[in-house]
Amino acid sequence: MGPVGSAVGRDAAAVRRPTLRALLAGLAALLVLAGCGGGGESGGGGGGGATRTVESERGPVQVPVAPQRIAVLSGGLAGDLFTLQAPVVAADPRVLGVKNDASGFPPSWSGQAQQQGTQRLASEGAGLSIEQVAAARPDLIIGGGQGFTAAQAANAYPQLQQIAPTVLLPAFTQWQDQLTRIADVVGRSDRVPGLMQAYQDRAAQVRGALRVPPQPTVFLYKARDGKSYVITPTAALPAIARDLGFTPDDVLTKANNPPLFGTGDSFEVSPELLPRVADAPTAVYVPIGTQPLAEIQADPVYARLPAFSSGQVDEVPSTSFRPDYQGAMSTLDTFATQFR
Amino acid sequence: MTAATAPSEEDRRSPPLFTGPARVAGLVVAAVLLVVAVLLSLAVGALPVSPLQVVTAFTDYSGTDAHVAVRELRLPRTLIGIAVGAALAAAGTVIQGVTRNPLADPGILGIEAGAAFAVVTAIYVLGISTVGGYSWFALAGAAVAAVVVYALGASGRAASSPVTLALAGAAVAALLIALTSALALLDSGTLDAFRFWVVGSLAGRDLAMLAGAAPFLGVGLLFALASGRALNALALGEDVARSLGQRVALNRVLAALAVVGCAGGAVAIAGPIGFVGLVVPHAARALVGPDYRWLLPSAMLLGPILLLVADVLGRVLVSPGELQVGIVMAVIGAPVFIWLVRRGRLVAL
Repeated sequence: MGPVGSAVGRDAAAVRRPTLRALLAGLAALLVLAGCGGGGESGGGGGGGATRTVESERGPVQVPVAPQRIAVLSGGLAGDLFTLQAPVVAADPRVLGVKNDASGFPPSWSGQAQQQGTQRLASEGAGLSIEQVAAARPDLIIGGGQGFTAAQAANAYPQLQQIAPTVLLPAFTQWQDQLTRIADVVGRSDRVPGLMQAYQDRAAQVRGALRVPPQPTVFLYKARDGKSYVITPTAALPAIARDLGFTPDDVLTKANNPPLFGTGDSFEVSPELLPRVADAPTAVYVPIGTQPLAEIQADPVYARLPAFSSGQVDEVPSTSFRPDYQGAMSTLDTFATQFR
Repeated sequence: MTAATAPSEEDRRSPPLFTGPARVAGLVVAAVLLVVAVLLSLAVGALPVSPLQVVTAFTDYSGTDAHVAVRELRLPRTLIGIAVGAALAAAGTVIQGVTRNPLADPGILGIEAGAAFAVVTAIYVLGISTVGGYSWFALAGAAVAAVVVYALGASGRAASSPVTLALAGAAVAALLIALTSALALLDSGTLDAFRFWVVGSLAGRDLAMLAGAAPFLGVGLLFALASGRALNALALGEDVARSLGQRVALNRVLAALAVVGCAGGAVAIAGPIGFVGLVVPHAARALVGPDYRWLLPSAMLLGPILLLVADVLGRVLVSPGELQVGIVMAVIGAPVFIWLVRRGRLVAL
């Protein structure tokens, strides 16, 4: 580093001319592009040069007013972009607990991805392919959110920034916050109130037709290593259930305020303590760890829980645990059919 | 067929705690400590259970939370801990004797690498995702790897010396580890499932898994116990062993079978658990000296003690969650090993 830097300092005069030439060429290219953009008004829909400032995990970022080619590096964030009908040029297809369909995308947005011709970012191997992101020529890169892909994007942030304005988002635990923030980043906040209203309307409709089982309710999942987890009452799934008239049980007090896992939406419970923590009369189980409810019911530890022994346990899809907007809407539908 | 005597420098440096006829007392002490460890394993956990409740869980079972915790959760993992601990310690003792290498553990025969490769293949190709489903693949992988290592080590000009065996083991293990990493990194779902198996644990295993692996463990432990005299002779060097009437090649094969049965069975039930096979033989030597006829049974008593204590620690350290015994073992195994080294009780084999 040192020798290279000093060499550059010494030969600055020699370097200056080509740099100047490159700058002029770049300026000329920009002028041509701006001419093609047609005015650059924010309502025009063209890429243009119009930018505005949005907040990211790494501070304020200048993003296009109306991005035309978005690369999204987290499958958990991609769904909301499709919901907002934003143009997604490339997307990471991994969503927790979801098996992708033949197209390689999660079923909840594979149709829209194929329609838009969205490119599937390589999900194999340990690293994010910077070259693949660059080849998609995005004008906005969105990363962050929950899980492993967020760490990948954070690691690659310096390179990503050189490709296009890069917005790293925090790990949201509520789908409403995620949708609102993504809509702001891609300049589609005007669509959010309508979507929220649609959720409220559907929730009211489901709630009216629902038969609420004995309350409170405990929300459970089992990780791949067989460890038992309980979902905190303020996490996204219990919050949706609350909208439908359910009462999420105060499991944190029952577990003596344990250390929370990851972003704080669940915590591990020893099988020995499960009868104390998960003693609510109703249980909702999420099969994130690939073990379906039928298998869990055969486990003697679970079989003894009040909700299990009385048959008041239901399974909801993995997408209900950390849902995006579509996940929240489909969770309402699941509750509507499960608790008819 | 005279039994070999202990290397004299070992006695000079740091005599064992029990020598001569007193070695019986050493075994009794180890047995008593094992009983204490078993009681701890039954009585201590995330759920507070009184000693009386532990007793009534067996004498007067009424299905309370405490009774269920003791009978359904703690008893199976205690029994599995005893079997796995004894098997890993026996495998470690035998492999250190056969290779005359104080740093040898069952990993030197490629057993853990073979099991890991078989499990990652089962996850990637067949989509298997349960602990019970992994066990047969782990056992098969361990056995195949050990046979390959042994065949490689026994072929060539310098046939089946401890050095060729260690080299063949290192080469095969390196290849298998690379292939395992490649498969795990190729697919994020496989990596996700595999990373849980690769940390050994006694939790979430039922007694059916123990019963499945029991024949292998049983044969392995019997072969290990029977190889004491041969290992004593080998400790003096191959030429002396031959002059004592030992059939060195045959004894090596029998010892290898003992290691595969013990370590393969253990890894099939609990996944890879390090340090037991490495540390316990040294602790046993410190207790009863280098005579393998005493060393093997005492290692089989000390192994479960170490594993059960580590498991109990894992249950209380991060309550209300649990720490896998593989993690606890790595954390306490290394300091124990360093302590043994510092006390000068490591033996030049």
